[in-house]
Amino acid sequence: MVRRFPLGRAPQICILLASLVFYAWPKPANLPYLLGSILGNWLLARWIASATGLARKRILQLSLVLNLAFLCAFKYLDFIAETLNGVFGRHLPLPGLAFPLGISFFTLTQIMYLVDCYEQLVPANTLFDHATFVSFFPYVISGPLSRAKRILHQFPVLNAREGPAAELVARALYLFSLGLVKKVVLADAFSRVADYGWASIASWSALEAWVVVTSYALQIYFDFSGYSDMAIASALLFGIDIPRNFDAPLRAKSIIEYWQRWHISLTSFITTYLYTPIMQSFRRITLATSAVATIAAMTIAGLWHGPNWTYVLFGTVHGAGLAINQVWRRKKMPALPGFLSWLLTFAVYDVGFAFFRSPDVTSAFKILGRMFNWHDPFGTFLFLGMNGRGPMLVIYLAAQACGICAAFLGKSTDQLARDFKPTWPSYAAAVACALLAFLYLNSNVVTPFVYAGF
Amino acid sequence: MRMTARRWIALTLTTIAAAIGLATLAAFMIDPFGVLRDPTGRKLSVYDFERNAKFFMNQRYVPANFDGLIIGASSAANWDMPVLGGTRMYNDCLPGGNIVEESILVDQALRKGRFKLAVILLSPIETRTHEIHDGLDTIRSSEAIASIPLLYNEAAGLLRASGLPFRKSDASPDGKVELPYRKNLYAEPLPPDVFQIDPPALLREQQLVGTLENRGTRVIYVVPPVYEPLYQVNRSSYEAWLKTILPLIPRAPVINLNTPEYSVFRGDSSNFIDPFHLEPQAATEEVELLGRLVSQAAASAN
Repeated sequence: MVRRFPLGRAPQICILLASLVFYAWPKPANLPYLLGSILGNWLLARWIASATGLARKRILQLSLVLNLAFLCAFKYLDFIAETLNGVFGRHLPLPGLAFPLGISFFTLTQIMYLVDCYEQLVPANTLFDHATFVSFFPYVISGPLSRAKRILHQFPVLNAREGPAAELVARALYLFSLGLVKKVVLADAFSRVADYGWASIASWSALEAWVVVTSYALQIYFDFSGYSDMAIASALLFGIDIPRNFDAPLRAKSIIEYWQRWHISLTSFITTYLYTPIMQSFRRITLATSAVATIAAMTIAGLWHGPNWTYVLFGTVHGAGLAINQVWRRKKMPALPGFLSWLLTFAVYDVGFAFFRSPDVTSAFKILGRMFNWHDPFGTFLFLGMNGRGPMLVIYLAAQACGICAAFLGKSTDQLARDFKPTWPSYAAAVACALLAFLYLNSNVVTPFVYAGF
Repeated sequence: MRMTARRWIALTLTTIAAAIGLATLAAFMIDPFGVLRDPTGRKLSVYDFERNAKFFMNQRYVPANFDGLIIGASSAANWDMPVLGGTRMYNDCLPGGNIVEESILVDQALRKGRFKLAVILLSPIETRTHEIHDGLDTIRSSEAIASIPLLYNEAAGLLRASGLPFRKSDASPDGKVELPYRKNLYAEPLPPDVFQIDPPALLREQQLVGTLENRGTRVIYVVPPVYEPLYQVNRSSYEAWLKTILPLIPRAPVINLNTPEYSVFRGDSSNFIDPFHLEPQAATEEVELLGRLVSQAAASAN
């Protein structure tokens, strides 16, 4: 509506205000942290832009330290204190600061921005543009992590009088309905099995353990990719193209391919801002240093998910998997048959998710023990209660069957959106998905977004 | 097959709006929970999703059509007793429920209703925990307009009304539901935590009985029958639990169906689905007995 009036950048002002309201809505006390971070980083970026020579590098280093300290203060201080208390038998006080919503995402976004400013890939923004970029509501809480150079040049579209093309809006609605159904129907159907299984770890057979952990993998995939689809679609409604985040990762036939398809924006961050600097810190680039850098980068990325050793081990498992995969490729060892490669990749990410979902390392190892429980490989008793009873049993089983097909067969939502044409089948799909999601949303069966917790 | 993007958007949004409108219209017309229209004199059954259905039915349907409530977990959920001691009873029992969850239902009913009689089951399961399951405490009014439980009960009601077969054939308008359990009788010691009394659950039970009595409702406690072999294995625990709880809750007449005089009934395995739930024909027999006992208890209390 704002576009109808000749108000210059009024549409962008509205979007900025709407984004801040969206961010502050669940907990208004979070807003000062976001605003403080935006203001602080904007000043730092201008400082970097105006400096030269070594001073420029020092300011960047200071900026990174400040951002990491900001993140650590809220997210990791208790974890560090608890670990030190545990190791050295000390009684350091736990500050217990509640971490602001989306802090991991908006801090990384701004770290990328500062590095890009330092490398002169983007100019230092105006405060208005910087605030709009960082707080843009589709990605401020749970990503995708967006680089300034990808977003900023699109801002004129926000203020364009004609608005986004109808084709783009239709594509956005289509993708949004697919994302919504992934989150509220498919992810929640798998969360039933995962929650049920995790509540009764002690009695799993190996088969049940793999089913439960795979259900969690599917839950988190549909949950996060559904959220990402909705975020991309929401941005598209304003004419902004934000990076895609998933590309059917559970079909990957190697762990390298898996990370090229899973949380793509995080992978890009890890590669550019963690792995590359770690590699540059070595004097020689060898297969061994590459493996060390990979494991180190992935371990840090694991820790980014939260202050728990389970996340660290999740990152380490993937780092080790990636390192082995790299060695295998570089040594030109024989390629495994397609199905076997997929199965091996599947096993690695399932082991990773066993750590990711577990409340502590002990539970994670118990689950691993169950996954490789040769004494009771094929027990199925737990399956009887996994999906409840009555009509919900049928509903959940149907949703799980659809979810398995969507995850392992057919086109991904990203591909479907790219191939979108305004036809009767796409109309029927969008309407069916929207109505189904609406029914679920209004039925008190939907669980919160998993990644909103990071 | 192709259309313009503008037409696609208009068609999609219009269809979604129309479908939501139709669902709302159907909800008003069928109103299986009796919340959207005057439910006086209607006969509404719970076919499934007992928690959601009974939550809504307690808002208008139960106060408009019943003078008494049976409050408890699943052990009496399949007892069909439309009239007890001259009072029109609604079976508010909740499969898998505890006293805190059951109180949520009663709270709904007490907003608009006054009840002459409340039969409250006394069973360890009631006070073992105060956990609320399946979002009973977060049900929104909009679920009575479009939701999975609503659609299911609408469809089931329509199937029954059309004379088509439906598995919940004996759900009745007084709140009785069919229990989907399989025959499974056993006689093992129950874990000690079954007999624990959870303080918040106890507090809620005390508050519930107090509220009912303050509103002029006569309260009678009923200890539901437990399959005799299992009861004997756990007898000391059951007796200790009852002895502990009775002084902690407001005084009211107690009908204990686990006393020796009912042991023949309890010892007959054909009467039980599992140690805690009666077969339908045994439930009918039990209801007749309970009718007599409640009348006696009410008369002696007067």
